Amino acid sequence: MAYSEKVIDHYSEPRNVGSLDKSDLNVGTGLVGAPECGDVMKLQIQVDPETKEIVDAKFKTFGCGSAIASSSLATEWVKGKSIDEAMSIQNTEIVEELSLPPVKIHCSVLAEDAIKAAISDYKSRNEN
Amino acid sequence: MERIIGIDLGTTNSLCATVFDEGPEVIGEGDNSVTPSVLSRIDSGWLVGQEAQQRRISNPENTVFSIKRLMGRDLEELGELVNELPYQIVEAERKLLKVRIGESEPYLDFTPQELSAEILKKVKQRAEAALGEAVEKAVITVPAYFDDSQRQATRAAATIAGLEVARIINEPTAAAIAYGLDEKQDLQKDGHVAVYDLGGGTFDISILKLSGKIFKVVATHGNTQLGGDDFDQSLVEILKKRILQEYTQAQFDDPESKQILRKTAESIKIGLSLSPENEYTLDFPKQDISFTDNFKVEDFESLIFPLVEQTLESCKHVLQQAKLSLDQIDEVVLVGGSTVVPGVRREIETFFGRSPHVAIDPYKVVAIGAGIQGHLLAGGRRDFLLLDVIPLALGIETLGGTFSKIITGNTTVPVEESETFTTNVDDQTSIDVNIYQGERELIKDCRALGKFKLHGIPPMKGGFPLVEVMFRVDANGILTVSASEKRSGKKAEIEVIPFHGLTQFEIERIMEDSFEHAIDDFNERQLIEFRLTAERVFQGIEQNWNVAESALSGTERDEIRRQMEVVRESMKKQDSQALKAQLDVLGELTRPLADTAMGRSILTELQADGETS
Amino acid sequence: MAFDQPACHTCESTLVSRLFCFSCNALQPFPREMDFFEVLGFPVSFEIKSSELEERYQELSLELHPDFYGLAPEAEKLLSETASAILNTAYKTLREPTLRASYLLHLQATKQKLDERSLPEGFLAEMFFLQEELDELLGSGNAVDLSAMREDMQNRKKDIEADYAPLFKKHEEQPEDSGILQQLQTHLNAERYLRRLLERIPAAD
Repeated sequence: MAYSEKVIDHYSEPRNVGSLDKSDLNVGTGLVGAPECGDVMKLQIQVDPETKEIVDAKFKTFGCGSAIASSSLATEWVKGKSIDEAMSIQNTEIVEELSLPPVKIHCSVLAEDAIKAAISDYKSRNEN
Repeated sequence: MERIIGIDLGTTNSLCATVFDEGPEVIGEGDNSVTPSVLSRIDSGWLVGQEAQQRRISNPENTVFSIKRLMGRDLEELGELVNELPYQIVEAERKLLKVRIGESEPYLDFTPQELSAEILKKVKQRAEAALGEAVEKAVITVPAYFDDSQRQATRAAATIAGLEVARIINEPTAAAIAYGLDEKQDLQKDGHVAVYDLGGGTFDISILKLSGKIFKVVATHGNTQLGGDDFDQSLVEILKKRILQEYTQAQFDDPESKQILRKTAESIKIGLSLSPENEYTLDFPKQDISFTDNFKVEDFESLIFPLVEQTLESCKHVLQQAKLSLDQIDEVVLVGGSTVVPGVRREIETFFGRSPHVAIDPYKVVAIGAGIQGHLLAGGRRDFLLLDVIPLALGIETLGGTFSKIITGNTTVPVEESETFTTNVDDQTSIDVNIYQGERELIKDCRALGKFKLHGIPPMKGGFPLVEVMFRVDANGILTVSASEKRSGKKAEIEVIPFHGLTQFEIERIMEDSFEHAIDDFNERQLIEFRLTAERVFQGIEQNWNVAESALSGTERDEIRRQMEVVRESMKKQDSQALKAQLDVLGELTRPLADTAMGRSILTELQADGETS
Repeated sequence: MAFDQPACHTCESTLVSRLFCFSCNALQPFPREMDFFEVLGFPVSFEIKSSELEERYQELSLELHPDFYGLAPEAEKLLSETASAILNTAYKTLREPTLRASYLLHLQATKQKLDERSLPEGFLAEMFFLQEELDELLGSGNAVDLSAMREDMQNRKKDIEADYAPLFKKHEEQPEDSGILQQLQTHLNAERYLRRLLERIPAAD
């Protein structure tokens, strides 16, 4: 089915690896870790100041392949979403009988935490 | 006490051993103790061993050798090997490999398991003949680096051959037992032993810690596609080049030419371990080519050096994994026919900085170790224990094509480990559990072992389900997997689809088919033999009855006639030993005729019969 | 949860190891959830003499291993295989200081809720920075600096490991002080990050 193919294709080549300018006020940076595994991930978002939409996202993860793959998907997801939408990360594409390989438990929260941290950082620096 | 023999199912040769009163030794004398791992198709059966060996050049497409290199593999993994071998290899259902026999339809396709089973059957029969008893259980050896598919294939082959596998043990470990338990070998009792095992098709390097009664494998590394056969192949390439210089139009693609080159390369290799130069002649009668040249040992050594270097890289790697330095290795043991090849031993000595133990014949040592282990499993002794390891990590595919290890490589077996995973996506109701073996981050670089689906997970938010995957590796190094979702209590379907192997159902079907054609039951074979002997003896007596009339009294002749009746009755029954006993009695009765032609011929029959049983 | 010295189900002698009775040589039926200390027959404590552990492991292996149950009934064969598997895992865990500390913490932290993700202040940022530096060093192949980083991380790891024993001792003496176990958790988390860094640095030749 199209969804699972999309997901798997996406994972075999992680996209959005890299950095954004930390000092830029339109950039939010989140740094999170999963100590159970020794993974550390930095995720950055670039927000359009007028539309409040996330126009770009970059990440860098040091950890197991599973963590890298999960991060990659997360950054794809947030692109094009508003900050508020991104705060409640939910995969809205509901598929029946979807069969996929599992994920490591810590990986499923790592990316979510990273996005929230990045948004939180952006908000706190743009409070005024 | 029942007997469990040890069988070394080698790439080039197979042997078996057991513990006799005098101690552990191979079964059979001289040439009878070795069965070349070669089989050649005839009519509706197979010639196995030395007789098949002779047909490698006369019948190259139907003569199969080095089948061990195909066990548990698929076509892609074999790579160039497919072109190097003169017999045809095809891909069947589920990517299973089969050897194709026959010039035209209908072809006969055989799995490597079935072919290895033929070799094992021969080994079994010869052992039974030599021991004079049925052989039902065995310890079978495999390279330490054999993965789960390769081990399963070996076990399947033994089952098809009618053997109950008491244990699968690793070849270097078997060799370590043979040396370690042999008082004469003077192996340091508490220390680290490196076993370097280079066979016809596989290479292993294992580091063991000997400590009191325990032989513990610390780490193991190797290459299941590297061995003496590759030395031969390198030689073949050089020979081709040399011939082409003189005969520019020469062709070597047909099976017969491949085999001629192969056999010559083998004999050059063997010749060079005895003298520094080897003269050879290559004849390709169909192409009218006759090429004579000689090969020097130093050229051979430089030729194989890159391959030997690979083995030394493995040695470095295994030391790292064992967290040991070279000077912490107390002993080195050499195993496998290819360790006698010139240059190899010298490189090993240089690398380890010490003289290796070679006192036990490197061709026999693995079988002997397996025989000793068989003896222990049969309850014959309790004074040592092997603690072996799984050579490569085992795990499953996690989303993104990544490999998540559940059991790390070099873990002592038996072992049981479980890990809990979850879903990444909401409402995911099914989880694919794809099982892999390897040491890399991505599954595409690891070996796929099999798969199953865990269905019926209640739809939940991604990240909510708790899927516990349990891996269990037994003392043979063979894996069973189960999985369940803990919140719903749902268990996975048990049927694992093996990627490179035969399912239990397929094995049983093969056995049913072969049972109809083969007579492998020891008692049945003996019955047939003794019945045939009896017929010949009767014939002998009838043909020469006129001599008996002058040499024996009436009473004695009557006794012989009566005993012949007794033997006839016994022939109708199923007890081979009872029949033999009655034949012996008949022999005794005809003893007074020893000096006459008839007597001698009967006695010769009975005596000959006594030796083969 | 403490090992309450059950008796052998065959001869009633006190069991040293939960898996096996040395008095009458019988495999014991055991519950799925057992702690590794009772498997090997040691008191629940961080301090274990490695030579004693080794000896006990060998003793038990020589009794439990499936190789010695070749002639036994099927049920006993299975039991021996499971017992061996548990023994091997127990030994592997208790033998290595970090694994032992982690396991012991898990056993002892039932009474208090630990923050399982605690790290020293600024540690995560430092680890990220070091990983990026390592990327650069690996790219340039600078053996001297790589060697320096390796030594540095190994020393930090050793310092952390040296703290396990005193901290566990302190916890025994002052079980009411909830901060001690939390400190251990933080230590173990930090050790894991250092280990991940070290795994990426090629071994010294």
